[in-house]
Amino acid sequence: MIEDFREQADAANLDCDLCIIGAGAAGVSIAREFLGSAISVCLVESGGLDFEAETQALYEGESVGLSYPDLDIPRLRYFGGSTNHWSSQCAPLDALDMAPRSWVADSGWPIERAVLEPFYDRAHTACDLGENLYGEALIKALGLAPPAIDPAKLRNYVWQYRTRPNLGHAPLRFGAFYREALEKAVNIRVLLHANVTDIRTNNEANRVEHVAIAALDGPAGRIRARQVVLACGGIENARIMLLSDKIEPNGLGNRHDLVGRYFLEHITGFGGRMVTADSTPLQENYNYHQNTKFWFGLALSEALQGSAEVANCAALLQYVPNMESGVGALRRMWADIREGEVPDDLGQEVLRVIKDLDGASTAIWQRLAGKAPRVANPAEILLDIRSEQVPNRDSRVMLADDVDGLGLRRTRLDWRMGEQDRRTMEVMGRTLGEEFGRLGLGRVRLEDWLLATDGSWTGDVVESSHHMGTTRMATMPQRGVVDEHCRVHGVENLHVAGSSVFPTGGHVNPTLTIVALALRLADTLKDNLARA
Amino acid sequence: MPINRRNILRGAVLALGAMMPGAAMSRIDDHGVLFQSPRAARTVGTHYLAQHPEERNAARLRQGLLAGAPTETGALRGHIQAKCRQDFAAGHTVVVDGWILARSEARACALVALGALVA
Ligand SMILES: Cc1cc2nc3c(=O)[nH]c(=O)nc-3n(C[C@H](O)[C@H](O)[C@H](O)COP(=O)(O)OP(=O)(O)OC[C@H]3O[C@@H](n4cnc5c(N)ncnc54)[C@H](O)[C@@H]3O)c2cc1C
Repeated sequence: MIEDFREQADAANLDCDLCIIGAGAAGVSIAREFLGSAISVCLVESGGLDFEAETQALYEGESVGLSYPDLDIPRLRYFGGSTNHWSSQCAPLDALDMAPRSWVADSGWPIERAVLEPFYDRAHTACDLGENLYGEALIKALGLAPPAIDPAKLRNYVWQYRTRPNLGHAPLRFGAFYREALEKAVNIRVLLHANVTDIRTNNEANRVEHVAIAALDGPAGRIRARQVVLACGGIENARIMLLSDKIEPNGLGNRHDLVGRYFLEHITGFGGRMVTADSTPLQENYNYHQNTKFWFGLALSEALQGSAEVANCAALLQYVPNMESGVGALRRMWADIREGEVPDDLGQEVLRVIKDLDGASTAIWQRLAGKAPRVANPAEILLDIRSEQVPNRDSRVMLADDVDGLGLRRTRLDWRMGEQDRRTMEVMGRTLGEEFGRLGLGRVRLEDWLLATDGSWTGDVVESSHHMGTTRMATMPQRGVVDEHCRVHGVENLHVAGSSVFPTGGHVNPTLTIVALALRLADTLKDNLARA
Repeated sequence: MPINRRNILRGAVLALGAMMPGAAMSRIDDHGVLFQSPRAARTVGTHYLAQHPEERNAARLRQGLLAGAPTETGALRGHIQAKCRQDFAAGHTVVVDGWILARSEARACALVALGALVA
């Protein structure tokens, strides 16, 4: 059932088997696993069924590090969480993403990638995607014959989206999509407009006794549960643990000063542009396929990540339509000339040179003659680089001094990046340039920022609204906030779901892995609850 | 070739040709010249030489790039194309003003810029 906490007199004092805090991708996925079971579940959600400005304002915070959007922009605080505005671009992590990498400090998950495979299968169903099929197997299934890139350097890489016929992208809104099932569930109680303000433990801080909830300008209450899951997103999970400081003065689970640290993002930037005599072989492959269900790009090979000592990174090609006719360009050039200015565009010059020398592109053109490019004569081909950020202890979520509408200290974000992050993107750009040159597909010009080693480059890249790392997973409490089962070290009945548990995030969008881990956690919780 | 209005205009026409690959390619074959746009080659070459002043030596550049090359322009183009492909395959690339080019490609342009190769 779905209820409004403000209208439920009994909700001021609730008992249940499992309390899940946050009804986003992670929280809803766990709750669904208990549909029709004998386990009583309380799914506590700050927002209502729709966007409300006062609730959303609880997400406001301050940013003291690298430029970051206002913190109420890259996440949504109502039923369904940030999936109310996600794009559903999905792919699983690579095996190397989860392995310890000697060249990436603080890398390595306490579980191997293979452990996640069955949960990725289930996550595809939960996210209403297609089959759990990626890489060369998917490329074969799509009937593509991409250029023969050197597998020692690059990999073909495909993402999936949720699409609907004639609609294109149709991202699954976890709230709207699963609402009816949750409404009908007799053992699941969804409490809307209930903000968790404190997770209160016993005096030893090793067991959660209750979860304190409050509505904006409304009632307050407490929920007692045998098991508790914190699933409020990658920033808020850390904030709530830091705010829960009544027993542990530095925050719950924070004895080793790790909660909020290692905040990670995925870094995105246009790292270069490309000229080619013929974009057809590129567009036939590195593009959307089957409507917009699949997006085909490239990623660094595992071997090159190791030898170049960089993180994981991918790139997509963006074909910018040529909005203006050639005649228009000619007129503009004439105007320049009449003004006495000499157009000085090395890009066009390089294009002419490679058209002269690049025999391979002629051959490819001849082979594909008659195939119309998808974007006729693109004005530009941009290299859209999407990179993993390496863990950085000083990149962190903290508590600010001012308070929100519930009287709780707001978030202070100090996002930082490092030189290895830039170098990762540079290696991606250079490798694309070398490989496209070798294959006669064109020439790449790297953007100045990509080659700038003075730190100024951080102004030319943006975040991806993927908040990771702030309650990282590690076997030892000295190295992580949660253990390999997503249980908070030292607190027997508190678990964390969401990308805050990722020790590293690969280059790929996080939600498929969030859901896979949530489903794995649901299995653990079922066992725990059955045993107790 | 001096940069004047007519040459710039010709450059513009070639730029349009560049957007029509079939037409542009056949023009290259008809003319049998090394570079359709000598100005383009010169610009790239000038950037390369500014970055590698130690290579501002036409004789040495020629020796490295053209030793054993046939003399007719059509065959010469094939020779340089092959060298570019070898360079890319061997990872012998250079970054000229951000552009990732085969070293031979950049050096051929440098020779044009030095007036030591008739484009
Ligand atoms: C514009 C945009 C596009 C995106 N596109 C993609 C994409 O294409 N692919 C991808 O993988 N990811 C994408 N993401 C990221 C994706 O949305 C998140 O990874 C995902 O929603 C995280 O799920 P979650 O359950 O951990 O957190 P959320 O979905 O954020 O859910 C957290 C829930 O907790 C609730 N909550 C918060 N605080 C409290 C509290 N104190 N008490 C009670 N409840 C609380 C919130 O209201 C919310 O419902 C995108 C994000 C944005 C902003």
